[in-house]
Amino acid sequence: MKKRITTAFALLASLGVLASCQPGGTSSGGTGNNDPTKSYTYNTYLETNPKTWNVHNWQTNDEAYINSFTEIGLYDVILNQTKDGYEFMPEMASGLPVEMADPSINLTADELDAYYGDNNPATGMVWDIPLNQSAKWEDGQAIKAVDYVESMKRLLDPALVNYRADGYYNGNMVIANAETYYKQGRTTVEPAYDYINLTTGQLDSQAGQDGKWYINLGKYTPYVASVFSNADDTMTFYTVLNNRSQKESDAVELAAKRITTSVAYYFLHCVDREDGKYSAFFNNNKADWEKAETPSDVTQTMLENHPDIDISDFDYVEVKVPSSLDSSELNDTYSSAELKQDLQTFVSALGRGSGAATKEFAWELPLFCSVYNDDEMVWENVGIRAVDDYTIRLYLSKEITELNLKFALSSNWLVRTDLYDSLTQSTGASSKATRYATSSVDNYMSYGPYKLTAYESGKTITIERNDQWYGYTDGKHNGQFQMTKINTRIITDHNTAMTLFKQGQLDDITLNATDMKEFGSSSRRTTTYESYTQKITFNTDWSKLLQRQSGNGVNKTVLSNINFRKGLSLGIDRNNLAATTTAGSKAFTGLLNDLYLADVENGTSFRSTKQGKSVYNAVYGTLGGDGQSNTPLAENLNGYNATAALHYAALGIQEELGSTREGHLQKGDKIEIELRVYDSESETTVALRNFLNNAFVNVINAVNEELGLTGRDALSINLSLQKDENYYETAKQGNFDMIFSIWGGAAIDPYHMMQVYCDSTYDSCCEYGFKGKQDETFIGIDANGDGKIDATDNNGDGVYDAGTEWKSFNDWYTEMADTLTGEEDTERRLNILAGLEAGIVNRFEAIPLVARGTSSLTSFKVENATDVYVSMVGYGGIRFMTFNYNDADWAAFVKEQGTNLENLYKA
Amino acid sequence: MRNSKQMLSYILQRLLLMVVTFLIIFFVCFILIRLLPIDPATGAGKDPEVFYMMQVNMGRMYRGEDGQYYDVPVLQQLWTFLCNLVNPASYIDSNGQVQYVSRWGYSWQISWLASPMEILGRQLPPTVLINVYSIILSIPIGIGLGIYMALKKNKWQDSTLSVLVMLFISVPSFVYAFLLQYLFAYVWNILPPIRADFAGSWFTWDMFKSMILPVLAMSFGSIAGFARYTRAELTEVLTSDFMLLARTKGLSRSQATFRHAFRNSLVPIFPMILGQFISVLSGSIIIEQIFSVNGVGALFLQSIQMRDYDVFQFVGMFYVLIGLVGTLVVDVSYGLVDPRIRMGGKK
Repeated sequence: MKKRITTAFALLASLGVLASCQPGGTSSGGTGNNDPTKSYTYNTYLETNPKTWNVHNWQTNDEAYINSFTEIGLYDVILNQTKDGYEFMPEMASGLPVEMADPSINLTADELDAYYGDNNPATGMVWDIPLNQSAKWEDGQAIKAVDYVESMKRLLDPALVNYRADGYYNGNMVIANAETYYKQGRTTVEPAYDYINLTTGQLDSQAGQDGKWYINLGKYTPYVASVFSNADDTMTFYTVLNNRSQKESDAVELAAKRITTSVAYYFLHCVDREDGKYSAFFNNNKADWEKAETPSDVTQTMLENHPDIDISDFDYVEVKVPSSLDSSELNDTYSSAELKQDLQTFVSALGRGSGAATKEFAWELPLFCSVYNDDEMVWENVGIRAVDDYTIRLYLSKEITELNLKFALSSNWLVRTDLYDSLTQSTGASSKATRYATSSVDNYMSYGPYKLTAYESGKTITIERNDQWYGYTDGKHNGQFQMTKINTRIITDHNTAMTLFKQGQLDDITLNATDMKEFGSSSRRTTTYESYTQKITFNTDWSKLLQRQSGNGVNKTVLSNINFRKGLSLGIDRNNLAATTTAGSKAFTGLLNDLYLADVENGTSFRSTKQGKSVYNAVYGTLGGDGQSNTPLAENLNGYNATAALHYAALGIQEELGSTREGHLQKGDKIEIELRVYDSESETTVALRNFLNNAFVNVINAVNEELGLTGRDALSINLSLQKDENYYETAKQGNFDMIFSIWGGAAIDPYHMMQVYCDSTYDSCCEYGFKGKQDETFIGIDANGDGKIDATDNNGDGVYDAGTEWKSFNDWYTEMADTLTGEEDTERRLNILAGLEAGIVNRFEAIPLVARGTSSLTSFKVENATDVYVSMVGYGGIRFMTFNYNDADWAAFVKEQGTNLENLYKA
Repeated sequence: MRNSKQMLSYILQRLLLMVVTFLIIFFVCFILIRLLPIDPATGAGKDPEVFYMMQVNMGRMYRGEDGQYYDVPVLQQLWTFLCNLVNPASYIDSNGQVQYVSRWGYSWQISWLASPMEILGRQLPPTVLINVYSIILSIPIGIGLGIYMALKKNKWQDSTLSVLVMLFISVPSFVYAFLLQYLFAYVWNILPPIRADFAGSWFTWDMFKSMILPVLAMSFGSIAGFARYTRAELTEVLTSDFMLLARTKGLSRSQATFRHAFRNSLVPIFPMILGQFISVLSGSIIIEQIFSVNGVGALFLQSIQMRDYDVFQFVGMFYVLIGLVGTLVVDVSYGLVDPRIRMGGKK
């Protein structure tokens, strides 16, 4: 949900403009209101036709495009007045959400009964949203509370199965009984943990009616959270069985091995892959399943979301498992009784003698059972109600902060219900769908600042000012939404779009890497950043590299040497790399780029904090000059220093040449690095490979010269591309030398983003060699910010080994993410976050290259509110966009330029 | 009379074969597209139910009483599709009126819940118009050039035009498309680079003007083709004995050329012209993309890529039908144009 919201913002932000020069503009130039008698049209394009723009069903950014103009949330995230952050503005709401204090007392008995049954709601679960009484549909009809309630009813309609329904029961805002209503009348297989009374072991009445137990290693179960304090919904029983940091007794490990093996064996040998129940599952990782011969070949990815297995099947088919922990032979035939026994052993051991894990029914906890979703869940019990004409009350089943609620309500679910119903039709025996917001203007009703006025599928979308919108007259939106019309064409061919842009017929154009050579220095170029960092990741595990090293004179083990990797990293000119091989990304040496927020309330970027700024110095503070003299490396060099690169690479190579380990680097070796990528033929990938290869070759040549390695003794290096559509999985298993790893996520929560690097139980870490060792790899962080690390060197070996600020990556992460949650902990959290980021980058396993972004050009016609990209709101978006030219003046200007603005845009 | 009967019998045989061919292609297409793998990862949000229910909507899966989703066997899907084609299911709309579901199903990927017929219908006009304009331009020019080249055989005019003709035949049409767009729309700025927006009528000056570039791009290859073919046929006929006879009987060169030579050379050219007319319903993927025509060019490919089964089936069958009818018409036309060719005649 967060990602969807972020992408929607990014879409709006992409319409933003940065401009520092304007050749002869005639109008406001960015501050005042436009002349109301003139028309101000924004001409833009999409590459793909949106198949729908129904707010209940949209999936892609293109499908949210029309809505971003014609609809508006209860709250909107907008650029703040100082233009360096964001703030919330009530839009369809008339004020802030009102939290009901102590709802278990203040709610009526009817409300408690309807929405919470036997449970008592906590504070933060009941909110009143006052609605904007001036809000109207484009036809002038008032929008009232009942419209929101009825719209939600349609969104959650079980027969419509709307794509966006899960946003209201599966995200931060969980409306009471919404999920049950949505799934009512269906029997679904659900985690038994949710339905077991943990004291008595009894299942709820609607669960397990068929008496069957199902095992699923690839689906989330809340049982995981009883084992891992930091569990999230990506973790499964497989994670618990196989990715624990702490080893248990042999008996427990054997139980875990037998459980995993039994499921893998079952899918390998006991089911018909063409069977309707399984065909989609096997097709999902078809190549891997075809290659797999033994259960050990079956990976976690292959088992993701596998069909539930009725464990009684194990009594009818022959499932083989090993009899001992060391055995690779599958010599025991497995039954459901043995599976239960192993489950009991495993769950009891991990329960450490507490809670339900000690009970005789412990084996049931990680399993699944069928649940009949009560069809008596009536709409009236779903947690949304119209309190009066202009107030809706939300009854949630999970507490939410005001901030998160405003975020959640920045997207809307409102539809014109009479039109929606008239366009809803049967599509089969038990399903229905609606044509609302598809195909035609007649199938839709706008209520935002703009309204849809023309739609030719696959060709043109015309959006014009909606005079019924309250914002044009309420005095709170002065100077905002100045464009009178947005004319959007569907243009799939980039060259065609570029031609139109150069002729002044489009007001923006997305640039590709080729365009960047022509327009890279244009004053009209803006970049929309993504919260993703592109980095290279090396395999640093000696034994894995040794296994992969084959052939005389070929070496890979040198990659395990940190000085060598540091040398390679320092040899990469990231500024040049970003400029020549990407279309808008910028050189970057950290993991968390400018979009990550330290303070979500006001949009303060982590990178702008003193802690965020300290990371570069913590990594490169001593890597300037010749690499030996503790000179800081200038920030604008972004981690590039050829002299220091030579120093560290030579140091690493000398260490390796002098090593006595099997397979160590020898004179005259060729360092062969296989770079695994998704698409080895993509222009961008090839360009990146060539750039890095040249950089590495330069480093090695300099080292040869420095160390006097000539002729047959000279070392060489080569980076070869290897196509691997599953390269992340390959990396997680350690079967790689180097990958391009793109990492990032929710910009509003940088703290939990670090889990992938710091949590030793987290499977998604690609930094093989570090993965799984985070709990035994220690780092000193000045968490209290007193300027020194409170740690001691008891052994006297020059390395800290104790102290309050000397902890493992795992422990620092746990403290930061789970313990430090209060406002008073902010500084300490930021200190730890910066310390962890620097600590990871300093390992030179994950070497950041660029912060990803896409560049675009914007016409001279428009101006944006700010020239600094602000997380969540970009450059201010359409709300604050102003015009330098009205349509007539623009046409005259373009004509004056000979209908060719190419040279102007190059400057 | 005997010839007419033979012709009728031939047409009936061909029609019967057409039906059989159509059905075979129909079944093969239906089965093959549905055998393509489904990847839940591409469709599921957090709730895989959405993806599976979409498959239920599309008739590929059904939900068992145990809550699990199962594939519907392809042959059963075929049967359901055929039943719906003949006897579509009905439902009551919000006004209490009985409505029927679309016989050909619905698009779930290209245009949500639009019937395939509706999608094809709205994208066909620009394609047809461009093709018709192209025919109007290319047939007379192509044939005229061919005649001129034949009459000037082995002279410098013929050589020059032959080089040009070979050039236009050899170079793919999208190359002209880019070139035309660059020169006329960008450098000289005398024609719009993309098709104009629909403003209530397809027959406006703006619309026509915006179609000139795609029409030219589509026509160069056809013009060259017609010219080369006409030249070759006419050259052959002009050197035949009956032409000598015609001249010796006192006909002027132009009389002999147009009354005898040209008419005879039309025998192989006429079916080519017919083929051109039949192809007005098909679009060019690349040219439509370059000029943003929004025709049917990419529709078929798009429906396969996006697994929009019903659209694929309908559009595919539409083109199969056109192809079959076109082939029949062309074959029959040989007999009509040249009485010496006997349709359905036995050896």
